[in-house]
Amino acid sequence: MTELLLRTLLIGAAAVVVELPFAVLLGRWLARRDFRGKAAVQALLVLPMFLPPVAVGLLLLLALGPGGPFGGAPLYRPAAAVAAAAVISFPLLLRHAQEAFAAVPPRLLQVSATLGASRWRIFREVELPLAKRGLAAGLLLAFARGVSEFGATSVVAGVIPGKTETLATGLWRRLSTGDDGGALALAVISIVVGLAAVLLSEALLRRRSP
Amino acid sequence: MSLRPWDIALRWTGPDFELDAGFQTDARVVALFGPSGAGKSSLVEAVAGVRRAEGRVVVSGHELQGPGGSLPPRERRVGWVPQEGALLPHRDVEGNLAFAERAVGADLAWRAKALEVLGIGGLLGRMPGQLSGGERQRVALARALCARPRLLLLDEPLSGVDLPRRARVFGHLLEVRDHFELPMLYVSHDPAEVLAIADHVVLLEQGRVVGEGAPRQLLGDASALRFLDRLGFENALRVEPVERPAAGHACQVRTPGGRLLVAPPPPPSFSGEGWLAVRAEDVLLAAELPHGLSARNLLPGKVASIDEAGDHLLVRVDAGDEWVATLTRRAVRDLALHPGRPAWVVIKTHSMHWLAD
Repeated sequence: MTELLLRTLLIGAAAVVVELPFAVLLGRWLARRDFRGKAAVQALLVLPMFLPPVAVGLLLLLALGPGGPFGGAPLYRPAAAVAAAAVISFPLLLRHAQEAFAAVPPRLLQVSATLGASRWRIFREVELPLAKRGLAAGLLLAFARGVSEFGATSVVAGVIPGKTETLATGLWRRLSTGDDGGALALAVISIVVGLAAVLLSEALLRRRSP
Repeated sequence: MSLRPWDIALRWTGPDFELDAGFQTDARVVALFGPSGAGKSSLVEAVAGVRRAEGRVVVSGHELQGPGGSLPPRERRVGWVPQEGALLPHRDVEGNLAFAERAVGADLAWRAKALEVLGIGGLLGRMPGQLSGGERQRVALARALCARPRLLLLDEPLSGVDLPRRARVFGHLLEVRDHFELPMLYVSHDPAEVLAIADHVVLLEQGRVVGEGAPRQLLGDASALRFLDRLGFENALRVEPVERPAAGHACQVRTPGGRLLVAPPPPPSFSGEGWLAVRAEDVLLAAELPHGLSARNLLPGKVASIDEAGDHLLVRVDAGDEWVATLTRRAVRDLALHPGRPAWVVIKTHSMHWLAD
């Protein structure tokens, strides 16, 4: 059970680590730029959250499987579970990243530029520090979503005990094999992990201003 | 290449506003003056390069923008202090100053001078959220100075400062003007501030320059005077204290026209010269030396001009200083005022306030 919990947390953590750079780049871009079709781009980016996870899993399977654009990727391994969790939870992180960057007053960026700071320095020393609470809050929520991911994960990573099984898929396997006690235990652990992540995220958002 | 401090001509078209303004002057300190929405801040932002306008910006011979191209904001070396100061909220005062010094390298003597002139040496460890409006402005100005700018752009630096503290902050601004000798563009909608700080005033309205000249000279220009009047004209006069008053007593000051008694206590650091302001509608005129009057300040002078300004008249009196008084038509008629006629300027001790120490 400990191994299962640890694997699940690792998969969730790896997923947000993979997502983070994309969320920061895209979120910042969406926060700073207005362009024709922005709403469509945003809708497309948050879509994975509003599709049946099994459908996302199927698309991932097509993309990662033999003959897909990312063919040869390791399916039915923990890395596949990471990919599934990352794709499903990405919209959540992206939304928070976008809000966090949008909350940085453009005036500060303009003044920083007149003080001779390069774009990279402004990003590192002004934008990132001011957005970091919002980013951390989004990271926690995305982590919680990734940890609880079932549909897409079961499609691309399968439910292989001791190898790709996570809290959510393990819960389902125990339930379907009649191990109600084991299923209930995993459900309780899921609640604790989810609640902790969400509460921490809320606390971070409430103390946003430094 | 001209070495005059300012040579600016900028055009910018927004959705509902058009800016087409510029000025050329040998004066070092220029006040940009006009009502809200006149485009003062837009012009300053365009000079700083954060608003992309077309045209020319040449300051002390440095072409920041022109036919040869436009420098990005970070290469313009403008010390821009926007209205809100825009301090980095996650860094303490020291961190804000250090941020500005990174691009040019720290110069301890220069920084020490900025800290001393602005009186913020004791604030280095504070976070911006712990500063008052006046302190924030002074730190923002010090930060701009730490980047070793070629010019200063101060956008209504007193707007976020509580009224009682304005005189103190304004005094620091005058010190910065005198100690750093940088070309300075000072945005304000307060005529008295402008008279006290600038060598040259540019009047801006609806994105266009409607008048410019030396501050005192503008007082003699009827159209400029009417423009100033619409914004609530204040007389500004440079004074020297005669003695520090005992508590509860009015302060006596010397002006070119004579001594005045001032009721509001001078700012704590009052020494040497200071600036006093009196609203034009608070200035009374008398055709003869009045008797039995409660007002303590009577200055003899001569009417210099009388100009129309909407429903009232602006009477300019030369009484050592140039005074402008707002009078009704009827009052002017009853007193038989006309240019060249002697008149007494009457000011209550309570209608004066300190502009700077």
